[in-house]
Amino acid sequence: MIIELGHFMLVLALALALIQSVVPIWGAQTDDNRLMAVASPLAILQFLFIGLAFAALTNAYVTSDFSVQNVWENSHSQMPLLFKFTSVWGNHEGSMLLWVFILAIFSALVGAFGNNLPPKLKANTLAVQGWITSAFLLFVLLTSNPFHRIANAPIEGRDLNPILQDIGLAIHPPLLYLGYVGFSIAFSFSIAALLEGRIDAAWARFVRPWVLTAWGLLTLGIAMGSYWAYYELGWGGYWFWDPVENASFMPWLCGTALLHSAIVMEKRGALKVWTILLSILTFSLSLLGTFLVRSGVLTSVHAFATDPSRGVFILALLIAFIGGGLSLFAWRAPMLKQGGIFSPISREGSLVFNNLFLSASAAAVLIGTLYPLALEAITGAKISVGAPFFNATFGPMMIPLLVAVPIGPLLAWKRGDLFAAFQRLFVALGAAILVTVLCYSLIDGGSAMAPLGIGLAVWIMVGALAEIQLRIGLFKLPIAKSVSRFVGLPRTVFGAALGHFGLGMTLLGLMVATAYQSETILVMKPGDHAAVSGYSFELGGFREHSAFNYVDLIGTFKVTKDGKEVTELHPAKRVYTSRNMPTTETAIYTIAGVTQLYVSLGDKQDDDGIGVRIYYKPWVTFIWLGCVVMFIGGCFSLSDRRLRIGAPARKGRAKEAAGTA
Amino acid sequence: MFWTIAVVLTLVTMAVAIYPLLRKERKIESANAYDLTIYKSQLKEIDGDVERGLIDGAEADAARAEVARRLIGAQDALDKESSEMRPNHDSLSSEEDSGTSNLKFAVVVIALLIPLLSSGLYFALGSPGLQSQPLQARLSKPPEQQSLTELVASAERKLARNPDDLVGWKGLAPIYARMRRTEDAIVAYRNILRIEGESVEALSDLGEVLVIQDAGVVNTEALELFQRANLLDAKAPKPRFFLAIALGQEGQEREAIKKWQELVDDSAEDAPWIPFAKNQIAALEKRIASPTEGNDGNASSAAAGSGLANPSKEDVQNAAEMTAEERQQMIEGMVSNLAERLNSDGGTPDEWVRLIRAELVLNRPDMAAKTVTRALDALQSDVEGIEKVKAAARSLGVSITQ
Amino acid sequence: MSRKQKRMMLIGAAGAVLFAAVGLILFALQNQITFFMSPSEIAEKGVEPGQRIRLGGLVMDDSVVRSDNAHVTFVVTDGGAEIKVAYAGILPDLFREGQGVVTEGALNADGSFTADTVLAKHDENYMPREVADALKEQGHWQDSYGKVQAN
Repeated sequence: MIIELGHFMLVLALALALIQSVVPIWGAQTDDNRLMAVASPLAILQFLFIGLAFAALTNAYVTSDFSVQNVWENSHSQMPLLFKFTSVWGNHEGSMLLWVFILAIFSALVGAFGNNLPPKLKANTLAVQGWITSAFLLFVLLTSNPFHRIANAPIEGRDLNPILQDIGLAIHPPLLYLGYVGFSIAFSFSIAALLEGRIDAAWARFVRPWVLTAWGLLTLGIAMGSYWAYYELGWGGYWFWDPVENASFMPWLCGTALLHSAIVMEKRGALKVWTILLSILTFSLSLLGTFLVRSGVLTSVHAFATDPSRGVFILALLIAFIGGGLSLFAWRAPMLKQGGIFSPISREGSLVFNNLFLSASAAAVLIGTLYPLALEAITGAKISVGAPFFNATFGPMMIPLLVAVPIGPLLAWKRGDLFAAFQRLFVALGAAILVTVLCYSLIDGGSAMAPLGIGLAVWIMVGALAEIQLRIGLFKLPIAKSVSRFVGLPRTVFGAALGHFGLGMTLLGLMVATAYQSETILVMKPGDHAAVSGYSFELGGFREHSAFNYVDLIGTFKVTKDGKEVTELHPAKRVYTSRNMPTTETAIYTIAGVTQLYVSLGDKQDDDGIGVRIYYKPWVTFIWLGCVVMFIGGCFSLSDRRLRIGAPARKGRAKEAAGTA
Repeated sequence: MFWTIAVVLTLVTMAVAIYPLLRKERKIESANAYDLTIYKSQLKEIDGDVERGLIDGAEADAARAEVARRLIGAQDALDKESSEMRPNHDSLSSEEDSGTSNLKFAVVVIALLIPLLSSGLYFALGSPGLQSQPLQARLSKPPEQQSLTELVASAERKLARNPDDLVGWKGLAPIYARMRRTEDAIVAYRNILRIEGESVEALSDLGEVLVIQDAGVVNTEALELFQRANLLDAKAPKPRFFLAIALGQEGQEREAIKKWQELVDDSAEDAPWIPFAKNQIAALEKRIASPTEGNDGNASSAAAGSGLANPSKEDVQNAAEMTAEERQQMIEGMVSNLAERLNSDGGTPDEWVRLIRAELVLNRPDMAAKTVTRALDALQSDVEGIEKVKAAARSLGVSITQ
Repeated sequence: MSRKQKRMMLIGAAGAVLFAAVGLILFALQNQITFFMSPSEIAEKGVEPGQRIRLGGLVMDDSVVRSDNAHVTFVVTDGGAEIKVAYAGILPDLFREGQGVVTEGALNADGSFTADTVLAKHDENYMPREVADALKEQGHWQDSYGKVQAN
């Protein structure tokens, strides 16, 4: 009964979403407060219903109710409890339900905490959220319904795809979806502004927390996905320019641009039209990502949903929302008032520079991702656009952007002084040059690219610290004064500095790990040794171990350096019995939190030997730690009380203002 | 219970959607008033930044001037709005009228849409009345309420905990055999043999499922089992039956006929194996008469007739048809037409499911199993169709071969 | 600078960046992409030795030969033609005889193929799309090759 109630509540949520799509807008058009007031309670109730529907499905998974087709297809009674939970969204139907649920969470948040919004803006925004919710609820109910039942319930499920039975992949999709769907709020705000034909002064302030939230979670989600691919696929790679990865990376690039342009809009009232366009584009790319992943148009290691009828449905949604959004933009944008002016060398100018390069690189990724699909549709030729393409396009575009990162924050608004900014950054510049030269001279052989990249990373990291140092006058003012300034520094300043510092860390990790890693692939028998970067790996032997729904073949490696034991590693080849599907369980040892030793097993050979991959990955964890620091930076900015000044006790004061007039 | 909750939910939903429409209308704050407060707080922020020494005086003055300009702009707009409002005071009542009619319309639409849409869509998509079936609850139900698959699964679970439970294996083994889960049946009978020790029944039951697994051929292992059973009790009919088949398959027709004849003589008139034995005798005699002639078209003798060393699956199936009456043959003809068409041209998932059902009705589960495999093959790209066929197969108890 | 001049400058700069970006992308699309080909297509059209391509098809039964140091050779076929592939490294989890595979590398002068990357399908219900298409063209899709693994 619980499962059927869940289904019924999902249908009720659709009815609510349809009402929410129409009534508030109608209210905004006719200045009727009561019609507009419908939006918030509807959004909150929808959140409740969809949440309960999600809970009902989760309950079916946890209790192994195989009368639910979705549970039967993706679960197994012997699966560990954790994966019974996570397999709720480890499949197409469940993950779309999660998508809609997250959408409902965001709408409900606007409904519940948006009291400081001008009423019409709020009503219109929630109505646009209603459109998106209705469309996706229809998609879930009609093409991807997780509540289908089987009359004669089978006694055992078909198990979750084994590569999804992993904690990394369990957390990764919800984070990505939180990011994707979070951008829907920016989209809805933009459409609302376009519908009303005016951008309120507080618009950027309202939008920025949402963009920050979405961006931070997306950052974390992408990092998580990358780390998952790194240890689960057993190839030691962390970024493959796989279309599914690109699908999450494009909204990230565009969202990063949006994050920056919204600052200009908030502080200076400039770039309004551009910011509106960016928020439409960012969510469009999120939808495109959903389409690419969920429609099965891709050939990709991630694609685990293939059904053309769904693809057509999502494509229609995509066209409706992107096409509709952009048409509305083309029609209404000319009515919007332009904001303040600025000289090219200024904080605004640097942010425009940032936007230009970020959106151009997003476009490059977009073309690289869609070109093969388009080419195949038109000419039938099949090509693959992989790392070489992206290295040749994305790479060069990133360089000027990365060089500019520390400079921007040091330029004044309106009119800046580039030379002065460089002067203030002399420490960072010196450090970067020093590190580059050191790297180049210490490690002979190899191109100059890696040392330059490492120097660039140092430039960004030290530059981020320099900004804080300059702001608080450290080394220039008395210490006590610096400390008091440090305490009083707006959180957004910390946020920006942390974000930039994290970016530098990720770049550093990428550069060092790529340039100085070493790897060995060989066949080993028990007793064999392999030496990688000064570490010796001895294969002790194998043992079989079975647990839950799989059987492991575990190898034991004793790792020594200079005769001293470092650790013991236990990589495994795991076979999931119900699908007879093997996966690789990598063993990783982290040295000092940054460098990793990585061992994965290949096939068992005819003679007692086994294929082994051993990697030495220096500083590799910086790649993901940098993303975590970026996320923390986002949280700092989000906690800045100035972003919330939008005003709760506003009513009285607003009346007062009207009264004195 | 479900319907009560569903109705309550619907009513709550309607109440939440309609309630805001019934409240008293409040005046909407002008958006300009909101802007004004933002500008004021921006001015305060600039002061704060100056205090903390984050920006210098000149920069602060420029910023203040800019915000102040916008503030004045917003104030002007607000003033203009309120002065426009006052003279219009008279028309407010007519506006209110149109407002109320809008509201009435909205209330009616909401009151209709929520119950109609939700019940309509739910009836189309949902399975009202179908209870949840958590696995644990299904397996711990009293046996008389359990379905066959549930019985099997709970027995399996018990046996997994206690693999020496003879009664459990004895209960399970024939069920496996009946469900055509031959592999599992073999495991079960092997366990019975292991626990119980050698008995005529245990030996010959295991032999029988081995023969079934090998599509009717009495292989070496089965042969040995029947011989051991025969040693224990030379009169037991089952070992004798299969030993006779084995002889026929080995090409020792005369020996086989002799054994069959003995079996017939020793059995009661109405023993179930009598007709089969008589058929065998006839077929074997025919084979002796014309050794080159294989299948003479008489399906009933085909199993023995062509089953020299390795009767094909088709032969076994042909043999299975020997009990078919004429009427049934006609139905079979129709079914095979459908099968032929689907096999050559493919068809919709529904047609495949119909064929599978028909074959089950004709009591040919292995045919049905094969049809499932073929359907999955033919439907290749149609994921939903495949799921449909699989679901149907599961619910009909047809095993899906890998 | 007047407001207009500033705006023009901004637009000019944006134009320059976009121009450079488009140039880069076009250049990369000329040079940095790899074509997917099936053994039959290679046999028909011919491919320059040394040119990077993706070769996809089915791993022929009984064709996988492993030798020392994780060197392995196998034959990729699409039913129409066969190409011998040499690879040094560890094969992916789901590399199996009779299953779809995509390899990336270049053709040697003797007509064999040296791969530096081997991708196998990552889900047992999932056949690389290019491979499926290539097999369909060769009419081998409905054979036992293309059988979806039930369950």
